[in-house]
Amino acid sequence: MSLSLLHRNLRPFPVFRLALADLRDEWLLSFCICLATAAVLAPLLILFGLKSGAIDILRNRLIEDPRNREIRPKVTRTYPEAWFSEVRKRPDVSFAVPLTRGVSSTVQAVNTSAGLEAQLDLSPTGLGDAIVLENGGRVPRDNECVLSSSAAGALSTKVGDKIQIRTSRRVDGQFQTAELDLRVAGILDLRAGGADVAYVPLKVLEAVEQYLDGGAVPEYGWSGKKPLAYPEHDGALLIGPATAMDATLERRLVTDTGFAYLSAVKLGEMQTVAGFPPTEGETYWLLRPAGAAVRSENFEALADRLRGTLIRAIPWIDDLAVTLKTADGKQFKRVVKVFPEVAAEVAEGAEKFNLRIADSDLPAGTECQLAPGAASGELLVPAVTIGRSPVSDVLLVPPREAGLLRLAATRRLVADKETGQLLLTRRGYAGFRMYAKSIDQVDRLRAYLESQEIPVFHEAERINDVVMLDRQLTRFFWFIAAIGIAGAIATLAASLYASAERKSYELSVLRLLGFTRFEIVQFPAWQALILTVLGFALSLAVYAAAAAILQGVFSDQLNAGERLMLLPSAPVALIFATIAALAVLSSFLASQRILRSDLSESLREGTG
Amino acid sequence: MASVYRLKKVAVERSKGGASFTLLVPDLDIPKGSFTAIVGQSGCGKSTLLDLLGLVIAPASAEKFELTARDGEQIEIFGESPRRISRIRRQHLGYILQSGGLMPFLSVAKNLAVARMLNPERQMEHEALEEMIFHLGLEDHLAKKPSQLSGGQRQRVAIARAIAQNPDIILADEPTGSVDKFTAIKIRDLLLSCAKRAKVSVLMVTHDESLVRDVADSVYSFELTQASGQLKSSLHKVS
Repeated sequence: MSLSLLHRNLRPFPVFRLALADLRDEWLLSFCICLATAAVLAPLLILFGLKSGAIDILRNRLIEDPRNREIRPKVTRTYPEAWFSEVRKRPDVSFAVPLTRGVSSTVQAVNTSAGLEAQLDLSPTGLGDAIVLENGGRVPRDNECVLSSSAAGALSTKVGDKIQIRTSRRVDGQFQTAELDLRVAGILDLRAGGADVAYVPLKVLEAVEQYLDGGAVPEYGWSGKKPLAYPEHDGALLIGPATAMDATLERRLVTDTGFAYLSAVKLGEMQTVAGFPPTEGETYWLLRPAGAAVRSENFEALADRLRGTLIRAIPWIDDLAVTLKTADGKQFKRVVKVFPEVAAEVAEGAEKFNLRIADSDLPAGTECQLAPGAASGELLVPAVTIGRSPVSDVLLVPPREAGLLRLAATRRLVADKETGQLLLTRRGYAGFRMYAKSIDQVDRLRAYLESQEIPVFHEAERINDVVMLDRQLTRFFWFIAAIGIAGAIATLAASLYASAERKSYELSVLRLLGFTRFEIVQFPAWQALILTVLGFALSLAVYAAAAAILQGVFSDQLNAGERLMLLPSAPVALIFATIAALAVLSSFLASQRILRSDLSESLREGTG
Repeated sequence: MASVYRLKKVAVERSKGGASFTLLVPDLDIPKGSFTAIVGQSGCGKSTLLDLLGLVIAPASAEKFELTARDGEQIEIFGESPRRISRIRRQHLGYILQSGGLMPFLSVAKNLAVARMLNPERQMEHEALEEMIFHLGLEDHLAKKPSQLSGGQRQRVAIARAIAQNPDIILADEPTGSVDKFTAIKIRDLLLSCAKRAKVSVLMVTHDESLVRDVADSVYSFELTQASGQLKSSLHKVS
């Protein structure tokens, strides 16, 4: 045998080397200790893995699933755009999108290349939509859609394919169909829901609804009627001789006409009320509606009641403030009054809608623009003066156009790009889809909506149940874990204590040879640490094997990216540190006992 | 001749089987490079004396308990701290136990390495070490564990380990107690020859006086007395 063995030394870490050599020499016993440790630790790690894996999957599915943060109204109501703006500002709302009427959100979808057809529900989406973003999709742009898993399956499409949606209406007994090509921008995970749904920008749903209502959607090339604005007035000004009004006529005027209140206008107030002075011999009455406004059908009914009398009616509006803008950039604040004599209907065949008005300052023939403001925002209505208003700061406008300006102040109108005609925009939405920022905020949001008398569907109670269940399960698992840790520690401590006791003779010899107390203490401490590490490593290996097997067995029930068993590093490190510390402590106690014993006796009791 | 150990009026008190036992060492002088034998029957105080000299136990009283190192340093042992005692043991004392006292989990080579590691400032030269290994006939057993060796071979390794530590004195506690007479003589001779080469003093405790009578430089024995239930043993020089 080579004498080179003689020249090997035990430095550095001599005590560690001695401890390791002893463990190696008694490898079977060391392995048994590791095995005993792993037998207790591995189930504990598997339990932890399952707790943080399977239970967290369940918890995430139930708690983090955006569907459980969803809030939907129980009843259909008109929700104006302003309401959505208000709601979106709330800190507990992560996403809110309007819904159109249910009947207009179902379309036929076709995958032309595959020859497959399916009926899809259109659902509006937009930036921050949790159901899309948290299920593997992205927010679709114009002419794009994101399909639910089942919709994609029904149409046999994949991301990047094109599908066509079709919607049909019946006009004058004839069926008409509108088509729109959409690119599939994403396909959602199954978790997003089992229904056949296409998530599209809101404008697509608005277009479908508008088309089904008979309207045209020029952007998509769908023909139909334009939603022309109609005049609305605050009442009627009745003009005629005083004798022409009697109690019978008074009663008839407020019966089935939409009008409700008749009052005489004092001559001294005429200028203020009507915007023009009274004419001698004439009497004036103001007829007001029961509701907010009257329209053309109300005036038709009124004309019918006044037939054969000497009284005539002209539409009337309350003071309506507008801004008059001239071509040279000047702006004037004006109050709109109805004055029938300046009434000049839109000239037949005129290219552009143009108001004929009379202003107190501007000479006839001045081209200008009127800004009704309020609901219609930036809308500018082109106008031309055709005379002078006798009253300062009063703008005299024909009855019909005054009614349109009144409507523009209360409801958003836009000018048709081609004709300049004023068009109605949508008044509001039939419903909404809303997500709370977190599950904890669902209940608060529900309370807010219900305070607005909007009863809602929500998952607050279910979420509370799940949170409670999760809390209970966590306690349950920690209880088992505590028992497991205690078992592991007891096993390891007993083994190490016994191991150190068995080494009593060897440690005594080392003491005799001159090893210090600190070095003697290190010997079993190193062994405890090494055995803990090996036992833990063995436990991790068993855990990894179990995790791989269970992952395979349950792969059908798991979504992509989900792991049935997951070991969070912090608690595992804590368990390891606790067990290692207690193992070292138990070995320390054993070595202390040896150090306190009589060295002389220990040496003679030992067998060597 | 200079001494390695010099003890004067040292008393050790111990309890043996419920009775008190006192060992008295009136005068003990172990010269450098000498072979000193301690003989006596069981229970006379041989092991107690060895524990005293091996610094395993402390005396109850001592007029002089002095160890002189090879470099001339004189160390008064009585009253030293446990830490200092550990240091003295590893630097100046070598041990041979009856059972060998080898680390069973280490090979022969590593058992020797432990001894060499203990005294790095006075490590034995490699050549001297190799020579000793050949002399003890251990060259073919360096990779073996103690359990793979015979009793005699284990004692030879114990001798090698004690010498490899390069101490001032080797304290041998019945090193031949578990071998036959022939092997015992061989081990004794090997111990003495190795010690002579390494210039290390040897103190050997044995119950077999015939093993040391002719070769020891000095032989000590004990005189036992018992008075009022107290056992006293006094060391005295035989030759």
